[in-house]
Amino acid sequence: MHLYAISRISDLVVLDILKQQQKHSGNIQVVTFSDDVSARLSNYGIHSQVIQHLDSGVDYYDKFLNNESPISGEVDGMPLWKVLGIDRLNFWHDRRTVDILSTLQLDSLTISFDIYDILVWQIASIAKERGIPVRAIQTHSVRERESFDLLPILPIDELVVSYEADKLTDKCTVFNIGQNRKRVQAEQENAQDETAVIFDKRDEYQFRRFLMSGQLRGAFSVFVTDARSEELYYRYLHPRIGVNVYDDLNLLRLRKRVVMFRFIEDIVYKFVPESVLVDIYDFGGINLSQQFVRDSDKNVKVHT
Amino acid sequence: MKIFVFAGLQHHYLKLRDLVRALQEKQHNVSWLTANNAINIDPPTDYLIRSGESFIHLFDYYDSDGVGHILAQLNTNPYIFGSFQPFWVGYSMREFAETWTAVHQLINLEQPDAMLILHENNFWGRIVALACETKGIPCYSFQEGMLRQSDQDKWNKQGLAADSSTTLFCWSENDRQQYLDAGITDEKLFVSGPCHLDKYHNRPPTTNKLVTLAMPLISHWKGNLVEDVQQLSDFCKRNNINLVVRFHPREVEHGHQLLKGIWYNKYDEYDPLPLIAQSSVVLVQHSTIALEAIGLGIPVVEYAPSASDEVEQSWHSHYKVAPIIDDYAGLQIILDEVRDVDENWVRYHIPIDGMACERVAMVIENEMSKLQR
Repeated sequence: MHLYAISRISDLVVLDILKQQQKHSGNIQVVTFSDDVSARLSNYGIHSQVIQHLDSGVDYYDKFLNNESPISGEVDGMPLWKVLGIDRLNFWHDRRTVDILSTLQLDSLTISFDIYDILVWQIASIAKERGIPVRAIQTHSVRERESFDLLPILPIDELVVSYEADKLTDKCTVFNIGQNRKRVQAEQENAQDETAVIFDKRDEYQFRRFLMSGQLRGAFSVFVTDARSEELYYRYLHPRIGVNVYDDLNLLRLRKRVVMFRFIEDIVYKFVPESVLVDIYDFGGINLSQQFVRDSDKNVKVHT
Repeated sequence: MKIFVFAGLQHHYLKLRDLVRALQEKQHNVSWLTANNAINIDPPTDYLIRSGESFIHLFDYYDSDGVGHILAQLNTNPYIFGSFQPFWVGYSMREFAETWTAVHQLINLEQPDAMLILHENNFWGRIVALACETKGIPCYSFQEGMLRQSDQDKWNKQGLAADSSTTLFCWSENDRQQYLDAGITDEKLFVSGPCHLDKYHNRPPTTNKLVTLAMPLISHWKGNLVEDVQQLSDFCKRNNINLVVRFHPREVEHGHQLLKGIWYNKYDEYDPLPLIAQSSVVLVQHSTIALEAIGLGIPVVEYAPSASDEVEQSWHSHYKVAPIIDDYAGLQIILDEVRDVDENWVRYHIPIDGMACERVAMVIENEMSKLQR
């Protein structure tokens, strides 16, 4: 029996399930963890069972900080876990758990590749431990440093991705969903010369460094990526910079040049037409942007 | 002397700011050092820039080869991803490698004489202190706030506070004793008093009838919060007393929403001390603000009308800083006899004499001159 554990949906997830259902009818079971995901799957004729999570009752301090160290490695005699465990990962400890593998005999497992969830990874790590092959299906952009760093250590044998450009390592296989993603098509008749500079709170350092470097010639305006970035920008950067600020990324299609500080695939492909130059100033290569920009990403340049 | 002072979260800055000024006045070359705060929901540059401070950023010392080298040495057990979002596991490992290598680059290039951190029990402080230890640079740390026995029992918090620090500056003898009990050696401990309270020494006495309720995290409140505040509000209104509620900075909006419809005045500034210094009584539950208020000579009441038994069994039995009130006659007495009563309750003595910064500077300078000899 083949199990799909799905926490997040994408076209690729749906296509993969439908393809496998055709191939092995009756021998596939799909589980989800929310009514919303289940309802969306049913729109494609895919029946799924919603699994309720339980509280594991695991005390963070007893299990992780004082006994089991889930990250090993030492730096100059200091166990790394003591550094990360004290005030970083204890904040993110998630006590949710599901118990589905104790009653199922599995031949293989496929999960949604969702690095913001824990339940699919719980199931994947148990399956891996039992020697069951585990695949993951792409559900969000993987051309980012967290996915890149995690791919070698996550408990999966294979990551199925949509396009050749998403192939981060040899662990990735391409589903052949079609040609590479296309950037948005838009008329540029009224495009403004003003450069659009993207402000995302994560890249605050690079943003300030870029503006102070004198590399920006001519007029510019600032585009914020989310509500918190906007709030922070107005609070302490806007009073010193004073240019126009926009929160509607759709307006990027009316610019001739966009400056950003990491490769954010969703912004480049959803909002910036191919005729618009995207300059990525990733100082020191902090965001590994060079790793993620491909020849097929027309008019995108990385400066480190 | 060339000194770097690390400021991560805003309270790092607020608690070390006056000491930095004091060291600068003594002609030492003191600079703030900062870093991104994970995905920067609360970036330290926000308060540093707004305060007009100049600072250097750890990314100025980014070492991409070093980051790769560290990441290659780390291993995870797969089960970690079933208890922590993989995003945060990956993010934190890289953030560790970035911070560790950048602190080393900074030390190599800038050759500081000393570094200061607020405390070792956080991500950055631990890294800076350990890097200093391995490089032979003195690193000084400070008591962050109230020492809770529950933290010590649960994860040896006090015992871990000076693993790599040269000296840990404590607020009082009582606190020093707690660190000793937790296993820190005597030569690492020095009672300086809290530096950030120096400026409140010798302030004019308050004449206000101002009751401040200084909230812990809402989830830590013992008893029924809405009911307790409603009763307090009614009491203050009846007696023509100004009541101010100050929520933890992370919970300002949520807190006011929860108490919607109840009369009180709001204080939403990050730093509670200007308010505390103006108060005639401060009501708390197991909060660092209790110790700060006592230091300023302001009566403190453990306010737990609907759960006083629970409080007695928790931190209060250790510090015994204030009476617990479970009826309003007690509050009335405090308001009537503000200055006379606290001596009877307070078993916590904190040296507030405006000299804490001076004592810390003296220890650091002595240490430096010994090293130079």
